[in-house]
Amino acid sequence: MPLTSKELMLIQDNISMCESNIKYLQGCAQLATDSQVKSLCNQLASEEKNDLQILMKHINTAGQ
Amino acid sequence: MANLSDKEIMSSILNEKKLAASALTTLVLESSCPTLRNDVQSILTKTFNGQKQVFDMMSQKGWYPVENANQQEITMAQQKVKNIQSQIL
Repeated sequence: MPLTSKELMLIQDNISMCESNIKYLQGCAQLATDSQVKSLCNQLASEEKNDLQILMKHINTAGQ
Repeated sequence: MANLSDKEIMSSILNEKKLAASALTTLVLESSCPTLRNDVQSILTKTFNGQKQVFDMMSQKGWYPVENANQQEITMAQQKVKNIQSQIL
């Protein structure tokens, strides 16, 4: 199914958010002094990477 | 960023999760492609779960104090609800 222009725009917006969140979470993981906080930051960054790939797939396969 | 405390880090991540949930909700609502809608709904559910993990940890560490509503506020809200019920139902 082809993507609408609105879908395309919103997917890109969400991809941008994911990208900056991953970078921020990775930075937070390095900065955190509490081991639980550090671990959660790493876990959330890893989950956001998976989400990013799912969103990217919709862009990469669009128009095929 | 170098001066952020653990509490500030968690607080900003909590805000990030709320913002992400809002942006993902918009994408779900605007999706006409069923596959895209399903995928984004799944990401949204994971985002809610992540937000809950952050909230629970903050709560456990005393970084997110919550306060119960007082009896006066509850009584006022109950009166408003009664008025709505009498008009609508």
